[in-house]
This record gives sequence, C-alpha cells and structure tokens, in this order.
Amino acid sequence: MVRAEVMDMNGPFYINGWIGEDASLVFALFIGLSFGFFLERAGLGSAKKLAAQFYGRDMSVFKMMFTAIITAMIGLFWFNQFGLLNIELVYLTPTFVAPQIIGGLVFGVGFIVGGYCPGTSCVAGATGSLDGWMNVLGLLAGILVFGELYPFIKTFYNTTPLGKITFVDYFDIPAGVMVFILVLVALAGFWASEKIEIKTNSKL
Amino acid sequence: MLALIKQKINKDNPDPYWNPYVSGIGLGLVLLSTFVVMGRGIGASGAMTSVVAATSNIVAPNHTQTNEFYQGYLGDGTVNPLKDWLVFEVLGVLIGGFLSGAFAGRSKIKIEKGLNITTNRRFQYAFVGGMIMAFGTKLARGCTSGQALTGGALMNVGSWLFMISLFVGAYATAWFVRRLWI
Amino acid sequence: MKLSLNKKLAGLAFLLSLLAMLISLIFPSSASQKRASIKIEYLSVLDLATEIRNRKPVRLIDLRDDSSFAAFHIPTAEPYSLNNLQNLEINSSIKTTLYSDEVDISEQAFYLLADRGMENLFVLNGGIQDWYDRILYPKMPKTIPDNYEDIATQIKSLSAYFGGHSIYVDEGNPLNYYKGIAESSPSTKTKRLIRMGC
Repeated sequence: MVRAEVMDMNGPFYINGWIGEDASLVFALFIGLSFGFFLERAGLGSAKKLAAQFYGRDMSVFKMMFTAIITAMIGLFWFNQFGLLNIELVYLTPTFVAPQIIGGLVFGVGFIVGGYCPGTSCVAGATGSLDGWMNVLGLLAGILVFGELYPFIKTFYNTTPLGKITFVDYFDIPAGVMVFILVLVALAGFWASEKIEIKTNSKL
Repeated sequence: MLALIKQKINKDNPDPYWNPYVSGIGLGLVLLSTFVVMGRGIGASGAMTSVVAATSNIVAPNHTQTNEFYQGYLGDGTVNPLKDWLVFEVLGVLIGGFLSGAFAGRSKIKIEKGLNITTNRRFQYAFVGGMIMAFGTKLARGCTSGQALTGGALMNVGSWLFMISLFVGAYATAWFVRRLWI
Repeated sequence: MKLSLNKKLAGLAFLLSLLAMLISLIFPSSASQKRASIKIEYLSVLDLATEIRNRKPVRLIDLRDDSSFAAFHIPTAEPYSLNNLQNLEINSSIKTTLYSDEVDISEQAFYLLADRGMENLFVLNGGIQDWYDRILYPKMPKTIPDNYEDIATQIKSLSAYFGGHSIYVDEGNPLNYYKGIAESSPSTKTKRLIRMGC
C-alpha cells in the first residue's frame, strides 16, 4: 500500500496533478532565480565575455551550455529509468527543419551584433548593464515586428514539419546510446575549447 | 551579518567568475528539476512575447486578437496573459541575476562594450542585435534557453539544428563585426 | 596521479553515460524512451457550442464527404478529407477541432496532424451525431428536476442560437448527459497558466 503511493508520486508533478497552478508560479520564480544566479556566476551576464566566445578567447558560453545540457540529459535518462519521471509527458517543441535552421542563423547574427541572448540580456540588465536593457528593448521591438509580419511569414513558419521528434526516434537507436554519443561529443568539445583558449590567448 | 552583506555588495574588486563547468552543472540541475516538477523546460523569449502580446492587446485589442501569433499568448481571455509561467520565471531571472551580481560586487550601472566604439554606437548595435535575434528566436520557436538548453537535453532534433545554426551564424558574422568587441 | 576538478567531472559524465548506454543495450525495452504514444484530446459538443457562441477563436475541420458537408455542417467548419489533409496548414495558435460522422476518422486525422507537429488539437466527442442530438435538437424532460434549471436554460439557449429546438420527452432525464460533461470536462477549467512552448 505504502509502496503504491510512492510509485504514484512521480514526475512531472504538475502534469500528474501534484502541484497546482499557483504553486507552479511560485516554483517558476524560484527556478528563474536559480537560473539567473548561475548565469551571472559564470559571467554570462557580460556582453564582452559572451562575445569573446566567437573570437576564441573565452569559451565559457559553450562550456556552460553543454555542461548544463549533458547534466540534464543524463539526469533525465536515469530519472526515467528509475520511474521517477515519465519522459513522454515532458513537453517537446515540434521540429520544423527550415524555419529552425534559418531562425538559428538569424539568431546567431543577432547574438554577435547585440552581445546577448534573451536570457542573458535580462541578467545583464539586472546587474546594471544599460546595453543589456537596450538589448531587451530591441528584443521586444523585434517580437512586435515579427507579430505584425506573422500573416506573411506564416507559410514559411509552418513548412518542413517533422513533428515532435527526438534523435532517439529519428535514428531509432536506444536512448542510452544516444546519451553516450552526445556526452562524448560534448567532452570532445570541452577538450577542444581548452586548447583553443590557450592557443588564442598565447597569440595576444 | 547585514554589515557583511553590505560590504560584499559594495566591494571595489569584483569576485572572479565561477568555473563554467560547475555553473553549468548547477544550471543543468535547475533544468532537470523543471522537467521533473513541471514537465516543461525553461525559457526567456516566451515571456517577452507575452509582454508584447499583453501590451499590444491594451493598445489595439481588435488588431491583436485577430492575429494568430498573439492568440497563442493571449489564451482565451479569462486569465491575464501576464499570469504565465515563463513571465514569473523571467522575473526570477532578474532577481537571481541581480543578487548574484550584487554578492560578487558586479551589480553596478555600466555599459559593456569594446574599446573602439562609442556608447551611442553600442546602444544602437545592442538594439538592432536584439531585433534581429527576436526574429530568429520566434522563427525557430524558441531561444537559447527554450530551444538550445531545454531541447538539447531532451535530444530534440529541431533544437539541435537550431543550436548548430546559431553557432554557425554567430561565427560567420563575428569577423565582420570584430570592431564592436576587439 | 592527481586529477583536476574538471577532469573528475568529465570522468563522472563519461561513466554515467557509459552506464546509460550499457543499460539501454542490455534492457532495450525498459529504456526505450520512445515517444510513440500520442494522446488524443476530446472536446465535448457542449464545450464546442459554447465556444462558438462566445466567438472564441476556433477552427473546425469537417472530415465527411462533400455531399454531407453541403447538406449540413457545424457553422464555421471547413471541409477536408483524410486524403487532402496534408494541405491543411499546421497552425497551433488556434484551437482546432476535428469532427466526422465516425470518431475513427477524426482520430486518424488527429494522428496525421499531430505527427506533423500540430498542437491545440481536439477530436469532437460523439462527432456530428452528438451535435445533432445534443445541441441542435436536445431532448428535455417535460418537468425540469431541481438543480437542472441552469443546465436546461443553457442547452435551450444554445439550441436556439444554432437554429434548432428542444424535443420534450416523457421518460428519463437526458440532461444527465450535460451534467456529466460539465463536471468532468477539462476544457471547462480556466486557461492553464502553463503555455508549454517558448
């Protein structure tokens, strides 16, 4: 009996009805607080540090991003494995190949011109960077432009759909194998980042 | 105790940044708990879209409500569009960022820019960069938080495409705008 | 040999993911983590009728043949068939409801569209038949029992709004049908605060 109750208490808590709407908003505040905290701690609230990524001087952005990704990825695998979280119930953004590739390229251009991404511009603004606030204003203006142009972009926005799909489905290989491959890729990336930093900074 | 905090906030030499791998693990655990508790990931641009949709809905309600893009953010009209999970999360980001910066002696009014450009130019580029980025993020259905981090951890095909394109786009442009930063 | 913190962390990540791979290969079924199951969401005719009357943005897809559509369809519906469904634009920002005279067809269409990434998608529970029997020409008891006045008024006004009328019956209480929906239907709850996308 006790065991059955324990078994029931698995994730996602919100979707399984364990926490309500208002509690989820309090939790959002707490999650955001920790999110902002870690971004700032690693220095991702500084435009100069973010931009240095793309000149090979400081690869912190890459390092932090991929560490976070593989940490959560490994965690998801093991939580799912032990039945603590039903991964099928976690929301997955549907894939639309062309808009997401073009969107990524455009985003990259904006990133290096503005010096921030949406999350880090908020952190920068919060720590007193006026250029961070300018970037936030630019983001709001850009979203407005996108919204107004949406009727014309709609067709492209919805082209090349693949549905909600992960690499596990796409390549049809076991999840653990995919996790292992991506962790290897990340570790190789970290090793390369350390080398690149040493190489670029010794030239300066 | 209070005096200690005050001293920390007002110190002249900011603390060094944390090891990016350690901060990355922290961020990864935050993301993981969001998955477990909410069944969704984190985000940033979605909250900004809610703000735009809500503001636009006050200025021009008819125009906004007939636009399909905004409809998704306005909901059915029974709940204020700003009472949204991501909006609360981004409020938290502002507080968390400020606190972390304050305790390390980094929360001060400043302008981050390269040595070779003026403040005005920096503001213009920050604004224009934001606009370009907003377009990319909305086209791709998410930003570095909502797509790259969240979808990256879920091994989402579209998120990895977005992430790779993001780095390609930024590295390809970096050389042309090097005067901004170097 | 002393390892730096970074190397220890890298080793930990390597080990945990190596174990993940091994466990996936040894027990392929338990660790499949496939997303094969798409859950169909249903919308009741009562909720749909209320939404149309309140001028909520809804999109209705009629999956019956052309002659049935020409003869009668739910207001604002667009005709489609399973064969030309690929022409339907994927648009998740507007609530889209599928209906037919057989629920099987709506469910099949649901899978086709959900596979292409469409969200905010529903199947009309009971299809066109329930619309006809429960909204356009609803059955009413001759004397409305206590506690059923509200729902009876609501159904009568919906029926009149869509150009139908109530049919009075002697036996039973057909209003129980609506009462059940009103109590169990998830869509009568307010907007979920958690919009899942970014």
